Amino acid sequence: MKTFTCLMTLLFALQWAQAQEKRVQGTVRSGDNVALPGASVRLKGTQTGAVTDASGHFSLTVPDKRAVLVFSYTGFQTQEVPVSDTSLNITLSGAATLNEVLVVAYGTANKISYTGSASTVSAKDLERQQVSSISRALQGTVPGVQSVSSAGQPGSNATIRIRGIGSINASSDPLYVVDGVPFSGNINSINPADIQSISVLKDAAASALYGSRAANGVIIIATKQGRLNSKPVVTLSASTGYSSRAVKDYDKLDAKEYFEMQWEALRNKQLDLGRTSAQAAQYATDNVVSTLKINPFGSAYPAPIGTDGKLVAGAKALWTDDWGKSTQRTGIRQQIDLNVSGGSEQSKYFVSAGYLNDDGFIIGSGYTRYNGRVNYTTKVNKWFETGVNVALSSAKQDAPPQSDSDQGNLANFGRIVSNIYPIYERNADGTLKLDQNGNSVYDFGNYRPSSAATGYNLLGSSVLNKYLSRLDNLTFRGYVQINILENLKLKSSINADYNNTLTHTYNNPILGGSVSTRGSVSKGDTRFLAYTVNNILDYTFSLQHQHHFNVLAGQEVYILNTSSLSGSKSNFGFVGKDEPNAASLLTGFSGSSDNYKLASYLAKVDYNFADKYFLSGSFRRDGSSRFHPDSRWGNFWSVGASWNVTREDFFHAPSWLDVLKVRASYGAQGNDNLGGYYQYQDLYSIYNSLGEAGLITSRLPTPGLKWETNLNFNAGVDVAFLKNRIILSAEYFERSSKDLLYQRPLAPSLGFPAIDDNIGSLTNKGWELQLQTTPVITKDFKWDVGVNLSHFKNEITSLPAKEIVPANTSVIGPTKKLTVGGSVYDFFIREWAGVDPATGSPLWYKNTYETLPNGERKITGRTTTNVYAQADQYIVGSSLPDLTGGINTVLNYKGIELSALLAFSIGGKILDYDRVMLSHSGNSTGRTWSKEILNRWTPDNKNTDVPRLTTDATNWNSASTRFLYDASYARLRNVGLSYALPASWTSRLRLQQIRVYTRGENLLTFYKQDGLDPEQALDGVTFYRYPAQKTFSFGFDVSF
Amino acid sequence: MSRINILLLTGAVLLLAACNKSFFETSPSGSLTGKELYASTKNIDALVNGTIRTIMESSTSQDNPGYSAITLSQEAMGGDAVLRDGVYGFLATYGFLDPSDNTTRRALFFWTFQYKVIDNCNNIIAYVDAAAGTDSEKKFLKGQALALRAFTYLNLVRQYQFTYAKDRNAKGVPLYTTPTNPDSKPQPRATVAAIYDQVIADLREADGLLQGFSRLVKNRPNQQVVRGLLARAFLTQENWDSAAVRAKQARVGYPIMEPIEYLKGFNDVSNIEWIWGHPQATDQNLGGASYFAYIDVTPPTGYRSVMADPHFREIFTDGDVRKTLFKPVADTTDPLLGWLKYTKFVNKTDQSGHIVLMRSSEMVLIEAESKARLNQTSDAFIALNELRVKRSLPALLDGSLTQPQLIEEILKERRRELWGEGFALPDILRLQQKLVRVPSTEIIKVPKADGTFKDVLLKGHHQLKFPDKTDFVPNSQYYLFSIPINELNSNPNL
Repeated sequence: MKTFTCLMTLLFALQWAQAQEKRVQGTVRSGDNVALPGASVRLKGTQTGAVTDASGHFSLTVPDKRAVLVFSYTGFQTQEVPVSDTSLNITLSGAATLNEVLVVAYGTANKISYTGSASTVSAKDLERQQVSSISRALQGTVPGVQSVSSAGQPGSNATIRIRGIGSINASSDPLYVVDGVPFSGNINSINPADIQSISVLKDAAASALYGSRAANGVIIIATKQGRLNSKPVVTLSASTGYSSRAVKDYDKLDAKEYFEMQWEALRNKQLDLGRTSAQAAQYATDNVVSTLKINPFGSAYPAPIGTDGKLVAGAKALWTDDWGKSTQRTGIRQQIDLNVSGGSEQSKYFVSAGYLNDDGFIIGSGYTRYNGRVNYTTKVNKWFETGVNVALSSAKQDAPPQSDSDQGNLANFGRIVSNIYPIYERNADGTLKLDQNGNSVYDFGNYRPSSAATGYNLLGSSVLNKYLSRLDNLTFRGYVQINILENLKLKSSINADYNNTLTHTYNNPILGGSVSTRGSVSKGDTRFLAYTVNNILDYTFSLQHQHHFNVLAGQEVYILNTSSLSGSKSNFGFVGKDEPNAASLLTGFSGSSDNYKLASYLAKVDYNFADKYFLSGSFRRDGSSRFHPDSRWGNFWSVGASWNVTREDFFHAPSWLDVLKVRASYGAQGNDNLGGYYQYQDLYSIYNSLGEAGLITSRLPTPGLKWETNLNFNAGVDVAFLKNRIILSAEYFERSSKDLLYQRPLAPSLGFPAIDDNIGSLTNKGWELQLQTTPVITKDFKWDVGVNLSHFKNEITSLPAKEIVPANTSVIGPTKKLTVGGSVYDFFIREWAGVDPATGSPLWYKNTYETLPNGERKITGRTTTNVYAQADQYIVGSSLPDLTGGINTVLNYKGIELSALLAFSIGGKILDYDRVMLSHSGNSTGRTWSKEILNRWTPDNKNTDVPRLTTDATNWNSASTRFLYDASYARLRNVGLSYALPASWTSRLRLQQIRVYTRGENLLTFYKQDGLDPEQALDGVTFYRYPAQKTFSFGFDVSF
Repeated sequence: MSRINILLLTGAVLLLAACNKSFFETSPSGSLTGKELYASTKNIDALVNGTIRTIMESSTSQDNPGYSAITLSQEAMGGDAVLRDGVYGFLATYGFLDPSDNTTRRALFFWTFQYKVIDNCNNIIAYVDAAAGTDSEKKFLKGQALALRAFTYLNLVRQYQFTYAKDRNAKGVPLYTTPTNPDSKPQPRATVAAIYDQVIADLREADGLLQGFSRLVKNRPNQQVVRGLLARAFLTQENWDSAAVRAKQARVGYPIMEPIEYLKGFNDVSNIEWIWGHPQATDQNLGGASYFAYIDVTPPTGYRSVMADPHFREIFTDGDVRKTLFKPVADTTDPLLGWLKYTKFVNKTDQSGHIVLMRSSEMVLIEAESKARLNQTSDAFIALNELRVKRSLPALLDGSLTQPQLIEEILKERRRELWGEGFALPDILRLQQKLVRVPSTEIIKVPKADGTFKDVLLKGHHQLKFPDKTDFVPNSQYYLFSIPINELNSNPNL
């Protein structure tokens, strides 16, 4: 309260004199001479202003002397015009410039005066991309942002990292802010068609006002608003697309090749057991069919592979099925969006509805979303304004298993089951077995070896099973604003994000993996409610005409409540009933709830001296329920400055230079998100057993645990020249994270794998470059080209131990090591030393040692070993790329627009487990082999990197540099061609605009390693995931 | 402007509300704090229950189903079980690729979950006396915690170092007897002898504390279990007198089951000779990742990984009820074609088969072996015959075997009786023998489509050497579990 009273006193005291006045009027148009209703006209340095009416007309009273009017319209270049005449006709340019309005923390800013680092993506840019989740729209479009869509599942989000990796154990995800307050829902619930702009805040000056949640950058999403004084406009757009796998999978063996290889593996194992070569060959010939449990060559050839290891003459595979393709189809994507916007003199509105249906190329996968939105604001009188944004969405996602080595994984199934096995049941002569209705019958392969997914046929079971989640989202943003004085505003807002996720997983009782439990079902629901209440006081004033101030102060409370329950049952008595009601045996029931609370005070000052010098400062104090009362509160702050050199009188700017601006900022942001909500207590998990209460240790007490702090330095230069035909922004940054929220590993013998601690530090240093050019511009033709580049180096600067191998109990096991001087994603794996030409055994490197007289063991060099476990692990590079970026281009000619966006990532490593799945020595009987195995070691082929075949596990397919590849790639994210019908035609149809277009997403991928989808998780380990899809679509927009 | 004042006031109220300390108070719905837990013996009893569940059911992957993963590994690394090739589960273990490799998830899991049990026991032992509750409740809880701690240390010391008789001064495992706190330092490896001293001290204390303890569920260690553990410890220490005495005490009240019971699938703690076992409930069994998923080879689908070696069948005589459980598969439609099934373990239909931890047959064999080694052969014959007659075998005549023959017979009887229960590897280590695996030569007749039969080799051992291609030897490092790399990296005191 004290803060407020002080501030109020100060603000009321400030006044300024009014000069003599005159009346100015005119019209605002866009470059193509269309009137712009709702454009803002403001007297520079004041809040006095007007808005254009439906015909783009405005009138305004201005002081007589030295008045300058500022014309702005979101998405257009802001223009400043001295009042030379009482009548002004203004044409605003739509090109990106350094003079555009940005949506920033708790308000808006003009890019020219902004001291922070922020990049934007406009509605126009978004329109050219066809994404179901806007998190995917940032790849290749914004410098400093690494966006990775490791899953092709429709509706899934991309992983976003802004300026490197800020944390080791705590979350490195950015904070999303939607319409002014932090957003707590799933970002995929927002319809990209509703978005006006996305701002990515990258440095402290831009984001420190979000305090404890801003350490990893902030992404601000502003939704579309109506415009004052404009007639209603209806826009309808619709598109249909077709999707398929973006990158072809590895080539696989056919039946002949497979049998010959398996024969060889069997023969070699017998040789190893000491049998003669004749005995061994005979054994292999006799046993190859019984080993693989199938004979695709038919009963006429009971031993299809002769003792020479070749397919016997005349034998021919009776079927050629492809399991990889069996789980794929042509996906269909349909999208329809309708919106109405407009406004009167006092109110404006934007109402929209959207429908999206995206069926992925993997069978059973899909995403359907319905969106509705109402954004309404009204100015009741001179001192009272209010508004609400309400958005509803209901989405349904079918996401069958699509990662992990699980046999039910549809993305991986073709890499598990070899094509020697039929998809449909076959008779001995190879013809299809038919049921009494004459239909073919899925072959679930109960006879198959377990490495070929015994009892699974995902094509057959996918129609019977269910992997459904329904996500309902309600986003509410409501505010009232009191204009205490013309330039002193109090804005109070109440905001809520409500999500409800219902999951329903069902495995049928008749076919596939759940036969033994007679089917299983689990159903769960999670309710998630986050609300934010804030009160913000905003005061803008000037002193002596040249000193302009904006002061903002306020407080905010954030409360999150999650509550979930789930249950599972098995034993279905009936086919076709998939709800828990139909199952008879309860196998699990659980529920929990959690609360998280945050209270904050915040303040900000912006100072502008004569449009030359800009200073900003911000401060936020946050208290979090995650920490102990004694270490609960943290302070976050920033300072920033910028200098518009071209405005200096002494700087006689050459005529070709439009703007030269330099800026710098420094500040501290925080991170409290180590995952848990109770990061100070000693906890014992409830672990009931056999119907009685149970507990088990889960957490050591950590009363001293506190915020992770991110210290962020940014320096940049912005240049525009040749009448804004070339705009260049270059920035250097250093992000240092200290007191990392870190799960410090403990010796497992202490009974805990780790203890939460503030320990260690790391830095991300790098630069970004954004270049926007217009090489050609004529009356009818315009060509824009943009390039953005980013580089960062992630370096651990201190750790509690010299090196730490993170505990990892997953199937893959640990593949990384943290060392001081290394990155957070340094691969630490065994190093492949090739195949022993003498024996065909796989080789890896291991250290050799000598023991010094003092007993110390010293590494003297290295040698090779054919025992995987004896090989040493080495640091062999990082998964982080050296350079990421994008190139975009737009060509416009008389209503025809051709656009393209190429995103690329250069450097870094990828550990390809997908390939591992296809590589075995003959021990994973029935598992798919890639063509690579044909190059295996034999006495006649000694120089190879594929070892000799045998039915023993030789571990050659375990994690090693053999499967570590360069991760560089480029992807044509989208390419689009559109045509807007000439105005003369559309007006005859009484329409405002008609546009038809065709678009392609991910049409081309440039990559060295055929078979691998290069867009993988940030840690560089593939995990049998749903690969990216490419989409080709057509559509139209109509507005009237 | 009065409305503005109201608004400002509202803001101020919210502001003040935010300052209130209670605003931040949150508590987890799925956990208790230490203060809450150690307030009462009732809560501490829940910690005992959770600790036992951790032993039996904590799991990091499908092939690590709690303590059963150790049991299965110790079987897979022996000579009488064969892991079906091409099948998920313990195939790498059978080939000694894990847990001797300290980077494998198996190595990490074995070490980690057993030490978690130790710390939970240490907490109970340290805090139970201060809790609200009756003296006998406290006594029983402490006794159970001591028994569980001793059980775990006894297992650890036999898994991570060669046997006591080989070198009692060798480095065993780190010894912790107090609860871990944020300042605890990781401990060095105590000697094998020190670990055994702790185990025996704990068990003796537990024996006294559990006097009069009557358990409701058979997974709780009672006095009989404690004595059985003492018998195991003394057997390994080659303290034959004490081993024989404790083995006899342990099985009081648990008579050896009848032959017919042996055929019932080893899946229920109600079995009269089970001294200690873990029941399962449908809502917490590990399904496809359970002990039975690997050892039960009777279902039509599933992993069914653990087969019997054809040479193992040769050590049974006809008439032995256990021999009827062997099922060579000659059915061409069966994916297990050519393998020798041993159908001792059969899961319950709802997949909740119970897991055996200790039974009287083991105790009678400990007694027999100890007596034989003491050259009290008459007592040894009596003990051995107590088991034989319950397996439909004739009693052996006292004196019909020399002492070495008798010992060998008793050790064979251990293999026959305890197959699948995790005794194969510990016995190889205890007896300092080398592993023996001989490829199968047995032929079975498999029907052909035309009604004739063809000869097929019954499948047997297929990993006949260590991974480095050396021959099996006694006291090989490959027989030991390895201390995981995580421990090596974060414990400078090892």
